[in-house]
Amino acid sequence: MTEQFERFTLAVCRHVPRATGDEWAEMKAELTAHLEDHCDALRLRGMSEEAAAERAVREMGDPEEIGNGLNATLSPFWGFILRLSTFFAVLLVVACILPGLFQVQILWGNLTARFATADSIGIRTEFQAIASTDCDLRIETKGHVVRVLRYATGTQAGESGVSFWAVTYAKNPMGEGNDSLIASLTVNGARHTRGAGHGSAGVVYSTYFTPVEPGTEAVTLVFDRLGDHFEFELPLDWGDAA
Amino acid sequence: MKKRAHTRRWTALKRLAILLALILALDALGLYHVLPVQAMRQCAASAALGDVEIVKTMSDRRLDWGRYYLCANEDAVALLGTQFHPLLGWQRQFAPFAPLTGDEPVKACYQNFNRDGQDTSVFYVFGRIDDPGVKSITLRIYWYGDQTDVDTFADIPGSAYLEHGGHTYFLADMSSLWLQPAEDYGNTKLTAAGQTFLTPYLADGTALPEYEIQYGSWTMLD
Amino acid sequence: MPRIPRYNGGAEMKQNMEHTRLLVLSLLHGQDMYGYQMITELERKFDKTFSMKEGTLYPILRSLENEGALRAYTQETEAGRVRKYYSLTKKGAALLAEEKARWRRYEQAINSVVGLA
Repeated sequence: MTEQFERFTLAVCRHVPRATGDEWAEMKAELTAHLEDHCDALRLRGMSEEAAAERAVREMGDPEEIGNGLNATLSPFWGFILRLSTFFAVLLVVACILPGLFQVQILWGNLTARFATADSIGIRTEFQAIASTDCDLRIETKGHVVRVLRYATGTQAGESGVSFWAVTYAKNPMGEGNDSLIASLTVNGARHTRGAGHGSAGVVYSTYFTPVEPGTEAVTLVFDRLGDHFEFELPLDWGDAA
Repeated sequence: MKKRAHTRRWTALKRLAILLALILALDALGLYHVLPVQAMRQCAASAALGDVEIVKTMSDRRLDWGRYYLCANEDAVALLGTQFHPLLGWQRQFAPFAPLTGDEPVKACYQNFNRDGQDTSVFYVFGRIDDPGVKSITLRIYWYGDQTDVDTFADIPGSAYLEHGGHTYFLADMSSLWLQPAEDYGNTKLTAAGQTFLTPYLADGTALPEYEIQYGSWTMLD
Repeated sequence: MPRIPRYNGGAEMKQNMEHTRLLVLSLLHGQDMYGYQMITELERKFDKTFSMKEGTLYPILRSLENEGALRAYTQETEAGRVRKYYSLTKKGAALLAEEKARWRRYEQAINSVVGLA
């Protein structure tokens, strides 16, 4: 019985090319249920299963006629919209996986930056510190934050000077960090000579070295960019090297 | 239990609604910008420019018909570039800007787009005139040649100037200044020195001192 | 009650399809039904003189559904068989009234020619 019904529905299916997989499954289920109901009714009248199935299939009619009729009820326009929408939705989700992961990385970097300490920055340089001072000097500029977490006196490549460690991130947790902001910091008006850093899309950690005469009592850390001006007076400790 | 069976039209409209909702959700998350101006604002934010106003919008077929915005606030004038991708929406491309600090009568910078596999460069100059006496501007690019150094000159066309918010801005396609190929002028190789100079002129033709302008900061953001 | 002839294509098939639409709408005016149930009900009402190729009912049902005249839902029987039921919508009720009026005009025209008026 099942085999006969399968053959019949398959013969109908050949004439419903417009149907999607789901649509055909629904049509097939409906036709099969009809055949089963009819078969059951004939068997109650005393017919054998095989004969009942044969008659049920025969009385359904011409599979081609049924298939053509069902096919005509499926609008090509809505079928196109259906397929196109499904295709683009899947493609969009797949295409946004990487940007999505990138955005998560930005968010994570941004949030960890807000709680960063000088020790957690973890940048390796050749700088040999004499005396370090931890701080949290905060600069807010154009939707971004720059935090200077530490400055120190010391030497790098045989030169005496001051290094500072800073982190920058966007105020918007989903915003990207801007590595030019820390670079905008100057010490006594002089641009740094050496820098190092790391970061991800959401945050930039940097350290910069500026030569300063040993024994200098204080330097002025200046941020001056696009109309935003900040100055910080930093007293220096040179230890025995002063 | 009853389960509603739907027509093809209903299912198609539902899928279309899901697609649109997905686009809007991705837009809200910043993963898919539906409008170019959203990508533009992302450009400005990434470049730490603050809030900017749009002075002019343009497209350029040589730059794959992206959408470009000449923007400004009181601190900077910028050329913010966006590009559309069907699967990623409007994407930010570049954000060169010229600071509006300093005493120069004209604040400007330039942006050069070298196209891979193309013979020509696309070269834009943009900025703001801060001296109301300045009525025209000439640009000069200095080239290092292995035989002869070369200067190329061009005036910023009148059509490039525009008024906005009480200021005069300009955005000029100066690609003609960009020399190709290097065999011109008896050289086998020409290198852009990266030196571009600007001379402002007053209404009576008097030239103000020439000075160098910089390549825009924050170029390709990717 | 006129005997509904078998489908044999052409104009006769079109006319029979239209009659079947009227019959389907009328049946569903009373209660929700599934396809095989409609066939058996029609056979009962026509006192077994009704005959149509049963499978051809389904394109008609789908067509009426596309027009908004019918709404469909599936329901599982106690035996685990899933049946697709159709119910008449408001639009379907209005369409039924139209089809009935058309049938009456057609019947009157036939009767006047045949001399039964």
